Amino acid sequence: MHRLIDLKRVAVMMVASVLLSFATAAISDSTVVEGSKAAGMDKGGCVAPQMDMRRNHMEYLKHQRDEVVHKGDRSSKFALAECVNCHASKDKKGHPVPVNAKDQFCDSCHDYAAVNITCFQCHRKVPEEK
Amino acid sequence: MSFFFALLFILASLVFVVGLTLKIIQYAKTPVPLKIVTTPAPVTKSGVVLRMFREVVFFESLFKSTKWTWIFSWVFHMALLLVLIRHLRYFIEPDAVPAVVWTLIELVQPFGMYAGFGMVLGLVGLFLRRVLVDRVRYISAPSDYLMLLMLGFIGFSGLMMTFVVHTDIVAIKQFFTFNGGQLPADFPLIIHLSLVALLMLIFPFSKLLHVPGIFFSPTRNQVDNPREKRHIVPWAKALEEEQN
Amino acid sequence: MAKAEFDVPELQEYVDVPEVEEGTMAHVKSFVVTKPEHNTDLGFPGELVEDWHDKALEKLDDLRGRYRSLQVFLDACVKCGSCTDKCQYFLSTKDPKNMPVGRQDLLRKVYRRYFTFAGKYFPKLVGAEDLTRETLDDWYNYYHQCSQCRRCSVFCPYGIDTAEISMAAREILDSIGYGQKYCNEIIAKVHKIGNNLGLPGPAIENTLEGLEEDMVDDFGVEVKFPLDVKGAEVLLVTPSADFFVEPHVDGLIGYGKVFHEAGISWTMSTTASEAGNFGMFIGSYENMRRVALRVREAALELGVKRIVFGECGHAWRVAYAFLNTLAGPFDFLDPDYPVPQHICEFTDDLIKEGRLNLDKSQNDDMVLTFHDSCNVARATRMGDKPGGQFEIPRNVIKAVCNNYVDMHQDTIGEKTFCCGGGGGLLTDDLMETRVNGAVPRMTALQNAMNEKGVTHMAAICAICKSQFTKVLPYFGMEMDQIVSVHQLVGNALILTTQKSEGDDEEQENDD
Repeated sequence: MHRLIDLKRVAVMMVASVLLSFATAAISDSTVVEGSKAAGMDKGGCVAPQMDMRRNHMEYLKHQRDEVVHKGDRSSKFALAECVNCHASKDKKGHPVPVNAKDQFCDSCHDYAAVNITCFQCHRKVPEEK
Repeated sequence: MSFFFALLFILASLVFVVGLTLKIIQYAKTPVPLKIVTTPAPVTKSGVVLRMFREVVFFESLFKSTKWTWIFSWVFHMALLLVLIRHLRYFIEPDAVPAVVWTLIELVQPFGMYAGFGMVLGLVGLFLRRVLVDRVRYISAPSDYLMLLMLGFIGFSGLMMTFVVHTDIVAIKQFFTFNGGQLPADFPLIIHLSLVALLMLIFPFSKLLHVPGIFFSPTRNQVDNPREKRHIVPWAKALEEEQN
Repeated sequence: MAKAEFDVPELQEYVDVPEVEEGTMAHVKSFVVTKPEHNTDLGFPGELVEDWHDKALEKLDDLRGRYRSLQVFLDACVKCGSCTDKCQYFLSTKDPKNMPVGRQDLLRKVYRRYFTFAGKYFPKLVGAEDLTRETLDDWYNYYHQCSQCRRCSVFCPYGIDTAEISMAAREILDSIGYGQKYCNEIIAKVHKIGNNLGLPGPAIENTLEGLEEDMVDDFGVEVKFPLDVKGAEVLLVTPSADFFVEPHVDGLIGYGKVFHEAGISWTMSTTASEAGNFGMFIGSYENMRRVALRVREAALELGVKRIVFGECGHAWRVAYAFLNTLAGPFDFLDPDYPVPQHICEFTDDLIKEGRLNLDKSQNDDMVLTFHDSCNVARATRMGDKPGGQFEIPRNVIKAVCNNYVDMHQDTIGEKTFCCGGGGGLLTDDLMETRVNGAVPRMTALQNAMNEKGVTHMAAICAICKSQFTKVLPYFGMEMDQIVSVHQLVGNALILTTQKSEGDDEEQENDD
């Protein structure tokens, strides 16, 4: 009898935990609040809203890499070169500063969050000279 | 929401730190009237440090006992340690520590990422053992299951954020380093943080006291030298003086 | 074959971990003190007090403030289950309250209910329960089915020692007048007469004279068994059973021959005619100290320079680990020797120095194994290295016997199983518990008999010897298969001026 109650208790907890795990997985589509500054970025700004880019830029870049390398499809809007083009600042003399240099666009957050970037071991870190 | 979580974490941290400190003071102040070390035991202080190290890092006694429990709990704890070290990045400003430390924190990131799986795996093993082995089921109270579930969901929601639905970690760091960041309203994050706060709240009142407890366990931390050195505590001494 | 009022478990090839079966040992209740003086002599109320509920909680609160072990052990258990298959009493009774953690939880659930936040406000959640009369009786029944052997503490990741919990529980029970007859009667006897068996001085003297006469008759040598001799070098404190029953007394003869051959003057004492100290079993520091002080008094009174303890497990724990605390400092003794010394350390030193003439072949009629007594194995040391408590007795046995083998590795050394009768359980009213508790050791012994031809098992503990003498027949073995280590030493030791009998057999075997 005692064992039966035990099993029942365990079963209830198992079900509860499964439900909770579904919930965790399902409700996690975060969106940017309508009318916020970040949403404004849509209009001709970045390739995606700021809040989206902050969370998912690594996925977009990785996805784009796979599209290009595996399928030869270069139509994706997510290209690292484009990031660099817009986000590399210029020093006093007007020369572009590498995006991964200290306190620059990439580095400032990546260093802050202790994430190593290896992109620029191969890729360009300043805009292409025209 | 950020305001709520700020309050919650201030409260949780207070309870955690104060509660744990009080417990540690209680343990430290309670006398050990007799030498009760489990032998064979080291006969020197450094030997005891080594024994404690093996106990805390390798779970020596548990290893002697049952390999299944050992493997699950060891994997869980070591993974948890890596994960915790990985989380330091949310609380430390890069400029506030020597560059070496920050480099180490950077280096541990990938290990900590995958350690999350080890953590959850270990917990699943421990949970299954608790349910399936009749002896362990007999000694389990609801809190024993809930504790595993809670840790499991902390791990699971963390893995979700690492591998499936990312959150804005820069904002989180700004929140936790009092830089006015707003917590992103992401569901896994809410679950994750709520459970962590709950864990901190119950820490000083639960079996999680095994963490400080092990260091105060007389059967493990005493030097085996009763013949060489007389061991006497104040209340026993008082008894002696009163009777002589 | 002894007859029993309970089912005697049959020995199997292995001791399997059984499925839990609740309540199988709930009916076993050691006799409660009936004569109030057995309690009052120890400083406890004569019978169960009216307000036992509050008094018990008060005592629990007091104890957790005085013993860090109790406080930490009550808090730290995570219910990992590591200990659940380690107790000899659980393994054969299947009663989950005989699992170390099950036993601890009887006290822990009450601690949680009254002294922790979680237990006060969420009792169901954390398994906290009120202190009821049923719980109190559970305490009594199950804390008197623990031999305090510490086997569980070896395997606990936090070193939680159920012995500490059961000692605390027994002290609580004593403090409310719910004491166990066996232990308390014995302690009262020690306080009054001087030893567990209640042997008065003249009776001991008589026994020792008898032994001296036997020595002259058997060997033609005047081996002395001195009592209360002032100015002797060594005070020997030995369990009173050594004066009284087989095979203990053969051990005593062994000690006497060793001292004689070593040429070291020695004496026993009527004041300290008991090495055992049941004060430990009931967790009472005060009673343990009172009993231990007899040794100090005797040593001072007789003006000895060294103290040596005879073969007794829990006595060696009190002597080795507690004596210095309870009755020290012993700065009046010879600082060149540890205080106290174990008789095995003493004999081992003499063997190493080559001062004993040993004829191993005298023990050739036996194939021996050694039962590590729980208290010696897990609570003490011999010699100056950890683990000496395993090596030194074995070295002694191997020096006096040609045929020695160990039992299975998982049943010796620090993993040794209790004989089943330790910790204040060596009483007939706990026979069911004792016989069940002996099963793992009996299984290992039987395997050693079948596989390695073992005929005898040596021990260095009076309780082990008494327990095995009684329990072996339940399993179809002979009661005299248990021997004292110093009985073996005595057999092999050729006294210098001994009547020759086996001169032709004198050459030593070299292996």
